[in-house]
Amino acid sequence: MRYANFPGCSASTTGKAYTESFSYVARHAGIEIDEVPDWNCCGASAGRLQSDDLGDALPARSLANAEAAFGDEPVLALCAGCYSNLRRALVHARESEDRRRQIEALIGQPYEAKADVVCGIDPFLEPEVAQTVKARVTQPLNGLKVACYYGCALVRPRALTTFDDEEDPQSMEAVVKLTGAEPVEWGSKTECCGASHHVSNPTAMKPLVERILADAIDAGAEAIATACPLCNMNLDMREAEINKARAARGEAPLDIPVYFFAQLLASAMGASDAEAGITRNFVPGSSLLAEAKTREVVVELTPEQKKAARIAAAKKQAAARKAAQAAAAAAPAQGKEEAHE
Amino acid sequence: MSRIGVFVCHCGTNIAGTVDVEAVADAARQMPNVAYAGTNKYMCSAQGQDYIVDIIKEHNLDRVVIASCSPRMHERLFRKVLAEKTDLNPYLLEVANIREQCSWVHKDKQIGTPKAINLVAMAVAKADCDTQLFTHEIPVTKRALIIGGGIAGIQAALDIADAGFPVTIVERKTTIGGKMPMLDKTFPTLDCSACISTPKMSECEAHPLIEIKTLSEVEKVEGYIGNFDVTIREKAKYIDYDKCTGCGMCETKCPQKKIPSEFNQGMSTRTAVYKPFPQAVPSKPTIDADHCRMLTEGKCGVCAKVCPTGAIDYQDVDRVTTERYGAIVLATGYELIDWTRLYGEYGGGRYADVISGLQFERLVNASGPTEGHILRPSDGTEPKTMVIVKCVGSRDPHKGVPYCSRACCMYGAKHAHQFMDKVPGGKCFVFYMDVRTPGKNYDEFYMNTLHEGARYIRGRISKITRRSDGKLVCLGEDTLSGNVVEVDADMVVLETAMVPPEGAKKLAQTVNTQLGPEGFFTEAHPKLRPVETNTGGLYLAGTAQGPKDIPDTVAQAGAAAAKVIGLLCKQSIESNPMVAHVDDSKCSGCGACVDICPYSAVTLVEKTLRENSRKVTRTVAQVNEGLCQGCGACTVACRPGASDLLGFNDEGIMREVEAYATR
Ligand SMILES: Cc1cc2nc3c(=O)[nH]c(=O)nc-3n(C[C@H](O)[C@H](O)[C@H](O)COP(=O)(O)OP(=O)(O)OC[C@H]3O[C@@H](n4cnc5c(N)ncnc54)[C@H](O)[C@@H]3O)c2cc1C
Ligand code: SF4
Ligand code: SF4
Repeated sequence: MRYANFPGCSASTTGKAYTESFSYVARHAGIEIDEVPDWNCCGASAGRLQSDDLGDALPARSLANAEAAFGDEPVLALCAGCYSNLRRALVHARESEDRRRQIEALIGQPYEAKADVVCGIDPFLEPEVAQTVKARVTQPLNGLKVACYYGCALVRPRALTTFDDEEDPQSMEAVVKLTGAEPVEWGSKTECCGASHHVSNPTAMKPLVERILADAIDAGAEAIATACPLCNMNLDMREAEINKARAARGEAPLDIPVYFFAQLLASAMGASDAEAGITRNFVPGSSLLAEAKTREVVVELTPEQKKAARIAAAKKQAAARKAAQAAAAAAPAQGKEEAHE
Repeated sequence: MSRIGVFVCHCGTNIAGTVDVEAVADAARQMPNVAYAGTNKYMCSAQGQDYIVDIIKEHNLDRVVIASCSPRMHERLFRKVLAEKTDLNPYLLEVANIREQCSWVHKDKQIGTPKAINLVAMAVAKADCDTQLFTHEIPVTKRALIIGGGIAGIQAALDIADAGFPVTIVERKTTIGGKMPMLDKTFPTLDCSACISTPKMSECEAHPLIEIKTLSEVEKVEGYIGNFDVTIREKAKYIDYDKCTGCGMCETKCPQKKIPSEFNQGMSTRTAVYKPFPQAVPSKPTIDADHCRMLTEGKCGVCAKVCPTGAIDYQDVDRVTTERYGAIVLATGYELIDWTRLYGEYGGGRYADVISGLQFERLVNASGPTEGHILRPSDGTEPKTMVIVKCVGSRDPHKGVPYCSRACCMYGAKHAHQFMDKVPGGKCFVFYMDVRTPGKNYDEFYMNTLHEGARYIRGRISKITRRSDGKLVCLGEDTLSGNVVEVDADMVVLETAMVPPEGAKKLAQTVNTQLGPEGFFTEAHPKLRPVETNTGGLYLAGTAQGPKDIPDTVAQAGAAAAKVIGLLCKQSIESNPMVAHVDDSKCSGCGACVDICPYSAVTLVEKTLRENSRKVTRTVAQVNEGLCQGCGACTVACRPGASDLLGFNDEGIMREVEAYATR
């Protein structure tokens, strides 16, 4: 699979670890990546507030560049914010021919809205890619309990993203499972992390982050996986601060490392911590993964498998009995012959 | 030259208030072929009718135009007047609707009067080319078919059979009863649901005139009112009901014991040879072929060994029969929306203690899986805090359905009451959008629940998550105070939307009738013909027509039965003469009409015709007058203009348009 990558502003800043780990996995899983030529800001927070036209034009210009260079090759946006903005422009252009023409006029170049826009999880939902990844997992994260966190922009609003269920998405779980880790069921996977208030109103944001961390731990998770630089930063970076406040209140710390899902894939596929960008994490994440890799694998059999195993054992036993009987039957005969001699 | 009489009605001030009726009569007198025009205060009254009759005789009229209310209102009455009190053919009548379509929609006479004159002019033009139409007699088969054996079907069957007509109930499950026997108590009187429904079920079983076909579905319906030929497939039960005594030996010995019980909503298990519940009707078991070891793996046969009467028959096959019925009642009921697919925010079915209202009914029921103790499915403990969420799927056009399911406000209050009654000190929170309790003693019931301590919070639950201590954390908003609310619940009950049952669409096609946009069967008129459909001889009962509670369901079933009895009482019925008619000489046999007819009334036949004084055999369309409902679709589809609607022929309609255009 080939993708036209839209890096956005986070790729080399807050999301550097995402870029590094994703590239590692892509290289080893046969995902080929082109960079969208002359891309520009997706308009994230300010574009659409300014005007609807600017909100569509900014992402559409990059999409048009991608289309000119790579035709209908899907555009990959690792950042959920970029993803959401690019998809909005795409959906608007596809929704009405009028709007598409307006957008073309705004950006002064042709844009046919042919290419799809996908997020970082999408490539791994392709069966061949998933298979390759699975085959390349050399250091499985045996039974590591992971809470997959989607945040808001990846799954909402449904009309824009068309990606998984907005209330109970399951696709990141499917991808994380490839590493041998065990995703946990939990309720806060699409709850707001307050990222937009990160700078302007941290007091409003902190309880939101605290709730997500607490929920994950309560559900039995040892780690959180994300697919968005902003979510990741917010959860990972604020954890220490939150724990300090908790300590002051006499509450136990919420100790849980936060990874990009691609970091888990990369690490399981044999990347060093530096290659997977894990050394960049605020909450140290190396030792947990190293420990998980040494765990013993317990395979839970399904009832059907158990039954099959029982039947196989019974058959084996019966065969052994038969063999013994046959041997016993043969023995006296032999004895007779012997007696004859 | 025809002699047309124009009768303009005042309808008190209904018409006269915004239409100058005398001016309309004056104008009518100037219209071609009009021999008389006059007005009357109430044309439909006895005195108004006499006036029409007298004038017809006095002026020797041969056509009649009545300018009054909608023909849907009184056309039949006026036709009857012509038929019974004059020599005129009742179809030489036109009704100009100057009330609903004129006086009621306009505010002053300036607009109303000229419009009424136009409408009368059109009717006069059409009346001139009206022809005599004659009905003929259709024999009536004196048997009724009921599709769906819920309380609606049961009530209709009993009423019809008690009037002396044989009835067949076709039910697709293994027992009749529908949802009602699954309910615990019924609002507002809190009488035991099984105690009032199961006696009716056994009454059906014992009734000499009622035949019950379970595990059965209607496959094909041909024919028309009074004479429907219905093909029914009765699926194999693998038990010979003539031999079976219902002793239940087979059930006790069946080794397949882990099949989720549908009757207990998956909260208990049943065997492969089973009766869904003790009072099921027919009171004999069936073998569930998907789970029976003998039928799936060819091994076992235990039930055949233990059956004292040799009733088990693994070779049993489906039985397909075709029989004739005079009337059909659709009583296929409802299903509950599959919330697990739609509401990921409520856990999408992954939390065992988030249950549906119907599951709650089984939990509080003494014959349910917990013998009436309210216990959480996850760990069998008694919940101390319960949250009820109403309108789940209802009134939610984004995820569920746009309409209100009507019964859940009341059974939501019932569930709150039952919980507080059975769990002393229990706390119950009810999240609602509105509380809708119109009905006799309904609001009193709700108020009582409030006084008992149920906490009603106006707002929806936005999210339910499960904490490791087993608590279900319910997040929502109290929209009255504007505060975010969080409730740590032990159990959550979702009062989910009623939706049409699976297969309703296919059934609608099979019986040739319409479904509304929400998928329930459409009545012929929402107010005046609520239990009839647009297809003659086909009636509606219960929730098949739309969400409703048991009192409304039973009332409607009785009404449908009355209609059926009314029909079956007759030796024969009059056909509707306003049907499509095909002019053989113009018909090219293209079959466009066959494809477009929603009632399958048109077929292609070989006919020997005289053309240019030669005999030729050609394929032409033929209309079955019993099936044709006079919708006129074929007349529009017919390219050579061979198909015409009697009473609404092309010429008449063109004359109307002309009359309007040339004024
Ligand atoms: C949780 C809950 C609690 C309730 N509590 C109350 C209450 O306290 N009081 C009250 O008045 N109402 C209550 N109701 C409403 C009540 O259940 C209905 O009003 C009533 O059951 C409707 O009866 P019915 O015969 O129309 O439909 P159903 O009971 O649904 O019966 C329809 C029957 O038709 C069969 N069928 C469907 N399709 C076909 C087909 N194609 N061919 C053959 N057979 C078919 C079905 O198998 C079923 O047996 C409650 C509803 C729910 C969900
Ligand atoms: S054992 Fe035989 S007679 Fe008894 S219920 Fe079963 S099938 Fe009927
Ligand atoms: S009856 Fe009440 S709970 Fe049910 S859909 Fe209507 S408003 Fe909602």
